[in-house]
Amino acid sequence: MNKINGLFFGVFFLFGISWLGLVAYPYLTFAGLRQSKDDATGALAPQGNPGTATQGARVYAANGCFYCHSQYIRGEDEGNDIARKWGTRRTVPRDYMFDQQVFLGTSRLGADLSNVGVRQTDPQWFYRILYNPHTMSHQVSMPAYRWLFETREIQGQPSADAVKLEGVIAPPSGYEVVPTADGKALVQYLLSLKKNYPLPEAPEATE
Amino acid sequence: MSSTHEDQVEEAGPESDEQFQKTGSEQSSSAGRSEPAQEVPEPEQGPIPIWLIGVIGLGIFWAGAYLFSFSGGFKADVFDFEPKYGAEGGGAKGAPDPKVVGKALFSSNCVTCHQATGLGVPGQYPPLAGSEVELGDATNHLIAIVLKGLQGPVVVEGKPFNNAMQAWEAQYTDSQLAAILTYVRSDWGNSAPPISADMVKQIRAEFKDRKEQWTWPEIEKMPPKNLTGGAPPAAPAGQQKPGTPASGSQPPASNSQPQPAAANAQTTQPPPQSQPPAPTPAPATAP
Amino acid sequence: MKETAFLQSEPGARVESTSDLSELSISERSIRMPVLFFFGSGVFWLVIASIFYLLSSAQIHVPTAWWTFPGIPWLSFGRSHPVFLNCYVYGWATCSGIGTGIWLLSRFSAPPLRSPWFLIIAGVLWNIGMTTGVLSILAGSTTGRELLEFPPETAFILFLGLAMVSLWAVTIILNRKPGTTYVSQWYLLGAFLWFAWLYATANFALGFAPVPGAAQPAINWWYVGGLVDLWLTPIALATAYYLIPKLVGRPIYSYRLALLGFWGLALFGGWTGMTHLIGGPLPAWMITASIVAKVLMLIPVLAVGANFHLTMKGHFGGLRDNHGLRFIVTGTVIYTAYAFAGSIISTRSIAQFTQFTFVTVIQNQLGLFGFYSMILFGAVYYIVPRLLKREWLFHKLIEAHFWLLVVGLGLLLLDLTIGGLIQGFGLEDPQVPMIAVNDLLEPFLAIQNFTALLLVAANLGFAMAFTLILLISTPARQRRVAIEQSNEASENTEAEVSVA
Repeated sequence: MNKINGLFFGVFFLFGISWLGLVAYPYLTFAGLRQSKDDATGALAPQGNPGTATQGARVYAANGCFYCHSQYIRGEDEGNDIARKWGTRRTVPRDYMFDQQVFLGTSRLGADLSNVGVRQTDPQWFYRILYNPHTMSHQVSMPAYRWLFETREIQGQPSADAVKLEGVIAPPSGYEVVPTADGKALVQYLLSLKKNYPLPEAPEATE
Repeated sequence: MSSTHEDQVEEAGPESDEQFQKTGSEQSSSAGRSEPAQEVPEPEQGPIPIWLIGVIGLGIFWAGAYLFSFSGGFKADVFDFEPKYGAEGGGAKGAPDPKVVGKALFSSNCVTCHQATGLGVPGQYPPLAGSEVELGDATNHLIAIVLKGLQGPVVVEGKPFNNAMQAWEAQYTDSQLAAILTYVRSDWGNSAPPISADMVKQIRAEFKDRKEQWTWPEIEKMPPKNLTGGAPPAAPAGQQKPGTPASGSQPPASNSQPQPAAANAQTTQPPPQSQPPAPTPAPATAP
Repeated sequence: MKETAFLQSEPGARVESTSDLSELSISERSIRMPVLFFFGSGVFWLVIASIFYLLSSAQIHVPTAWWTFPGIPWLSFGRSHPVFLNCYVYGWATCSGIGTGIWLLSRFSAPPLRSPWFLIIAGVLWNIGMTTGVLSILAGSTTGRELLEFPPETAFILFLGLAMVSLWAVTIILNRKPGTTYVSQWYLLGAFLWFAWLYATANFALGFAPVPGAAQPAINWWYVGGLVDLWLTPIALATAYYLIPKLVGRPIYSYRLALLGFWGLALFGGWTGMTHLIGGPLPAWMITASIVAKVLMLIPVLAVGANFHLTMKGHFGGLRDNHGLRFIVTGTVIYTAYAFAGSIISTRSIAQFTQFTFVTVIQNQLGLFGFYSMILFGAVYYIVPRLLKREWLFHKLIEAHFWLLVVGLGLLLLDLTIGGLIQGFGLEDPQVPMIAVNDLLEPFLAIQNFTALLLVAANLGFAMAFTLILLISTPARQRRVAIEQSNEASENTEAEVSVA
């Protein structure tokens, strides 16, 4: 056998093994996941995302949020995410089974967002942070996402989702800051980020 | 590959000399060349250094040990590196203490208003430590408030509050709420009997059509009930557990199914002790 | 003497005329245009990447400063960062890698191209894909996956170009005359085959027929691991395996070490991706397998490092004079260190603290800016004068390039390692709020911003040198160079005969 053929087959098959293990295997394994049913309440977990949340995921991707925010909770033996109250249990593949875009992320310049919808249920909080991240602290690396909002004249009554702003960043009187469709979708997506339902393969942390 | 190597050794000998000679010899005018010289001599036959062979040996040994210790049996549903108790993986961890679970759940949300000290914020959020709603016998009131929320004026421990608490029925399952309430009733000097998922289920069903938050007068009007039913919450649904910790001194109800608090036996008011007693022969609960 | 150090013509070649390109062999002539086209594209994308690198570094340091363009969506960090990374990896790194690969393959084979247009079209397709991809990201139309941000349509165009080049390369290697294949050819066969496979699979499984759920990040990071270990690394190693013996004038020390290095890479390289997802929602065995592969990668890395070191032993003096060699050897030294560091931070106990921090960032940057780019800079510095029969102007510029890179990288390494560790310990301590972690990071981000300036200056210097040599050629200089070249050639001839 020609040596070059040996080289070619070696190159081909050694790589093929990794393709089998890291591409074919997860593809096949996770394709068959089903929701789990809680015997006490009959609730199915996880729930699929509503439409606006899926649109919001696209806004999340477009603005590169995943370059600074992660979305998975490590187990107790692997990190202190649970001690930090970012979640009550580790995340498992079933948590992401309905996500068309999975933003696990590999950087925590900002907080983990797996359960941000559990920690913060008020859209106003998200709007304030997105409009002016420096409400959190003067030294955050997060840019201000002002293009997810528009400043417009108050027509009669102030809008229901006008962002409550104070101080220097507040709009001039007679004007209000309202989220655009993208902004609303993004916040709906963030509000939908909850992974605190129980799953048999991921018991609640015991610390 | 070793035979290939042998071939290489043989061919490399004369050829490499040739190629060395090529560099000195006339390569003829480069313009007319149809086959470019490789220009780089073939590698020599240096041996693999001993230390590298040592590294390889160590590496293979370590790799084998690591791979087989931390792969969870190569199962698709084992995610933790170090499964406890040598069980099949990260699944079975033994029944966790509901107060620990409840504390974790409480800390992820309820602390925002009621604070980690359970003292609330004066004038804003009522305290839970020593609160009569928490500790009283009217467990249906307590559960109803947590499920649907509460708004408007209310007096807790003699102090007035006027705020709005959101409904939590959508956020948490019965067993999660039961764990939270069990925890709340047992910390900060509180000492009241645990709440079970069954109790939460009853109240949830009773008021399933109600959409608005309660007001305190409505709660007061509700006839107080000291709910019973079901063992205290153990682990979340669907989990394989060695056994449900029983309440009080009653013998544990049939608890070999993987469901918490599904016992049919009506247990009477458990004695006022906070620990779920574990005199059962079930394996130890997780530390 | 320094000036001639770049050019080592075929010993024994006769050089008569000066600007006459006929002394290029037929194969060199046939690949001259494609190689220069790819190099030119690479330099162009390097400039774009550098601009966005500077912008994104400034933006995480002071997101509200006016010179970081706050409030403009298409320049925000979430878009400038992926543009930088994609331009650097798929623009500079891949184009220069393909150019070098084409040139290297032409050294081993009979005239590889009847006409250069096949490869040039591939290059044009690649550039079209890059342009549309970059514009898509800036417009907000990205896939949301790291290093696969280009939308599927763009990825398809890129893949067409890549497939053309890979097909050509693999055919060239397979159709060579029977006999020994040189080490570089193994690596190039691997690189072109693996990258085409990786790119096709990843974009198909994630872009065209997306798999919902946790399989996505698995495939994504399999791809990224392969991109680094099975595309960039083999191209760089193929280059080093060819140019180090060439420039030092000695053969590679050990054939067996070369074998070990190559097959170790082939075996372990595809498995290392999951080390970016330690603790993630994947079966434990996948992550453990990745960690094991990453640590075992040390074996081929040490083999390659030892091989180069023992080849160079006693001849390190050449580094003083020969710019190309200097870049390449520095690159290989960084390779060993970077791979070592990579294996260490992949183990679970260390990963717990380094995972989401700047330590992983500096790890990747060391590999890209340090190992890969250094070697490719060396290759460009060597190859371009040969193809153009011209000399680099301003050697001081090249010196400046080298030292700016080395100092900048060194500073960046210290800064982001210390900052990253502080960040990691802060993140792992539940008592430390995120705000406090950010505050602690501030000075490190400032230094990183400054270092970005150094690195960008280095890259721009390189771009300038490249532009100058393309545009300017002085006949008198060439004649002098050619004469010195032929003198040196006859000296070399005598020297090599005596060595053999």
